[in-house]
Amino acid sequence: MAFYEVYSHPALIRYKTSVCTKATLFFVIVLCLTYIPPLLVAYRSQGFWLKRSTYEEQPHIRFQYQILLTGATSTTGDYVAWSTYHNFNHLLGSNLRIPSVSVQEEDLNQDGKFDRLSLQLELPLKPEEQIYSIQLLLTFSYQLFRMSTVVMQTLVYVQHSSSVPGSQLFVSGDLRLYQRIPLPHRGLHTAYNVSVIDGTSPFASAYDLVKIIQAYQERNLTTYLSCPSPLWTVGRASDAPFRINAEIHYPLEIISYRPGFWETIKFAWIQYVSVLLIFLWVFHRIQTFVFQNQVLPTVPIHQVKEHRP
Amino acid sequence: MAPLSWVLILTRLVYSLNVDDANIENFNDTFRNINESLDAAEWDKSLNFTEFEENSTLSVSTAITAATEAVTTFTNHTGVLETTTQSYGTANGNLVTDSYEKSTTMSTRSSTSSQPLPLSGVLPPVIDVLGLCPCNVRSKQCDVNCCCDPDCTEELAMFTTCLTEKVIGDPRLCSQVAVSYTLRMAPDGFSQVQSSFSKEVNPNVFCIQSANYEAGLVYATPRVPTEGNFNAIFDQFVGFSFGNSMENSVQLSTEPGNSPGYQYGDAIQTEDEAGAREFFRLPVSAGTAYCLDANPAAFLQDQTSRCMRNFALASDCTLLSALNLQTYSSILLLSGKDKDADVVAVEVAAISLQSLEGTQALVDLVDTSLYTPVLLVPVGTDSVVCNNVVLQVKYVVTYSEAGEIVNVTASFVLGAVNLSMVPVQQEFQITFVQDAANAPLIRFSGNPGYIVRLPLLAGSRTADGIIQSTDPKGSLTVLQSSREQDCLSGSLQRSPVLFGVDMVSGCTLRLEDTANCSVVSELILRMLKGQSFPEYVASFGNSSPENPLDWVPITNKTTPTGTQGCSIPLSYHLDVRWTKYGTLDNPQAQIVSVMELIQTNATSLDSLSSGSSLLTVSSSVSFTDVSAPASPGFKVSPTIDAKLPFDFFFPFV
Repeated sequence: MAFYEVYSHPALIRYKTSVCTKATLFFVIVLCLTYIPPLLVAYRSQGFWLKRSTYEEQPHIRFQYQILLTGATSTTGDYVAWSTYHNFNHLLGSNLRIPSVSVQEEDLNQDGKFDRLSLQLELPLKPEEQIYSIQLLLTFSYQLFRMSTVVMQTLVYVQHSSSVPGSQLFVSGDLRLYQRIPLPHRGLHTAYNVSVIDGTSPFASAYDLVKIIQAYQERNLTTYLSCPSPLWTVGRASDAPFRINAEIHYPLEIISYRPGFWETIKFAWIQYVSVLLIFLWVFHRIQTFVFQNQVLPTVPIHQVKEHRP
Repeated sequence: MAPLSWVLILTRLVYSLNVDDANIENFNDTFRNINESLDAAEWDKSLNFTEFEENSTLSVSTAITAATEAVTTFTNHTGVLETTTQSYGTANGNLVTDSYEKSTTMSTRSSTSSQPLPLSGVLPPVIDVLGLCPCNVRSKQCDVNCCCDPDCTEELAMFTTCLTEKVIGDPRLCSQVAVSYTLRMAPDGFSQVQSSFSKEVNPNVFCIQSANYEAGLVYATPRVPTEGNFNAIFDQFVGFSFGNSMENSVQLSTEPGNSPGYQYGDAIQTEDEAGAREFFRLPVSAGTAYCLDANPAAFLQDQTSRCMRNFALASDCTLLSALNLQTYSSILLLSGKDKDADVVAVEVAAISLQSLEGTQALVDLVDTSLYTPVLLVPVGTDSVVCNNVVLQVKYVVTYSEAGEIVNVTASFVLGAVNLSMVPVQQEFQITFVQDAANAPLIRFSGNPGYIVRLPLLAGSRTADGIIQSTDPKGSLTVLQSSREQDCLSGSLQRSPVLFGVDMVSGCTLRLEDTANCSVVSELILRMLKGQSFPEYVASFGNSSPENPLDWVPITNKTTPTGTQGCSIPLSYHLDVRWTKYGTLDNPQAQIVSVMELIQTNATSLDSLSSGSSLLTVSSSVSFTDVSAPASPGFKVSPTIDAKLPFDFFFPFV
């Protein structure tokens, strides 16, 4: 008839001592060594406090239907220009050339956010004119909602020049966000919700590309067109217009932000406790050894079931 | 208990998924058999809709019901049928083909045929996927590669792919109705369109088993715009559009503000002979280098603009108004924005004539109408010269305390232009001076410390103190690289030394010019230092000339001459040392020493040029910060210097 373990439970032994003893000192030292070194280990191994984190969001982008276009029509620097700003067109005088523009914004996956902008622009040219360079500026309304609410107006600048006159410029790319510093984790940000180009100004300086880009690049949040391969179609019939065909996709954006207080604490806690568990185990074994073998004199009290008299 | 129930649920889920998959397989098999067993008579009987084809007022909902009936009929025949597969080929004799075509015609017509709009103005939504064929865009004609187009019969031979491969229902439902069209090669070599009607299983755990809320599946019925609510609906839905940006043009405002005069940044207005109001134009360049003539000048904004003008010299010389002095001088400005503002005429203060070589001469002002552009065609030469072309216009506007324009003077530079000088560059400048400001304007370069990118204040010492030049560009200047690149005959253009801006420029010296060594040495030194080289530099941006102690002398350090007697300065360096002064949070820049270092040739010039017969002479400026590091912000160091890293308690502090 073999025996088998049918049940087991640990037995509790209490070790008692007075305040001013070696055992008390040992206990205090062990307590400090258990809880403080894990903090130092977690901190010194870097990344204890989470200072930057990222999230993914597809921004809510709308084309603002504002365009500024400049094209060089000869090698000596003659140009034609057009914009949707009445004041700028007025300034241009005889260099104004009004193109025909068609724009579609499409929501491909029916999620209520636009995914793509298709822009076709036909710039009529005189037979003696050729296009050597194109500068195109489009403005967008850009909104983020997931962590901090960001409402801003941004722009996309497309520039291409060629030594050979062309008939078409095709650009297809993504509208990407560029951040200098991370966003806060909450709050409303409308500091950049101002017109990139002040269309109400009658002065030419408001439409100077240098000033526009200079002021725009001062901002923390900017957008740019990530277009690795603009295509320049060489050759043009004398009566054909110059075409610009742009497809701008609005992709998912990875946005970095500063985590809030509780998120920082949560990640620090995870790191601290995971190191602490090892220390707890090690010092538990040490304490058990020391007290069990009476290395330091204490009074062990076994738990005895008290019978009722 | 809880884990056990979870296991049970999971088992049920897996089981149901498997069953659904198996069903699909079964259906396909089942129907293939049934398809063969069905005869044409039964098809015609069950799908008896032929008369609908002629009925043009057929409502869509009827068609949908009809299509649903068709499916129901299938179910009657097969019992378990959920998938129907049908092939139709190009052979006309096949009875099965005919009957199927009819059913497809019915279901697709419902979505494409032009229906008169019901009285409510709203079409009932097409819920059945059988009724959708987005590629069928030509009425009663076959759309090539559109497999769901019922008009296609013989044309199937041309098909290579199916444009619409699958029409699917709501993806949130657990089992979605889907119609898929595939192109298959028939055994006789012709293309066949195979359409299969199936139920797709959604693997998502949280799919919708049955949707009993019909309105949740379709878009809400839009409000019909009427005359009464049009604006409200428009405001609700309007976003960005092309029309919006067109209307924000600025009009000439004659509204009286809180003062009769202009405010800062207002466009200055003019009045022409007819009494119409216009803007005062100051050509500038924007985007390109060309002059934009229509740019208005803003009140109290001093600006200098340079822009280019391209024209055909012979034809445009006398005709182009932008070259004519009268365009810029015969302007009647309005003193304020009011309706009853006074008219101020532009007064010509000075006219300088510039020759082809670039030398300028001031002329007596007798009659400004004499100085209009004239085309000179020298006899016997091809070169034409246009004389009296406006090259520079400088307006000085005097204004009163109330912001009213009191007086406008203009000074011009008119030049002779030949073919090589087109396109010309015109310079326009407008400065505003307050009326009754008698004292000469002295501009500070900081208050008190220097501000970066403002000119250094310099002057020379007399018995009374420092004499400071009133040139707004500053009196301490360095050589500006010229087009000729020749140190001896270069232009006289110099650029001011700006605080905090390091600069370098230079010119070249030909060896054959160095025959008279002492004269050349003198000339180059004057070229590098400028005509009136100051002796003192203000240590602060607002140093007073009355207090000579605030001024730092410019010390000179010339490297010793070499063995040869002739020494020509080859480099000129201005070393400005400055320090931060004052409080830590608002430090002020103070210049502590200025030293000019002139380096002359140590060996013979021939060996320096190494055979190229050209020597380069450079001039440079450097600013050095010699501030002592700030001492700690406490006098006695704290006794406990805890060595915790600065961000140890990052989120708490």
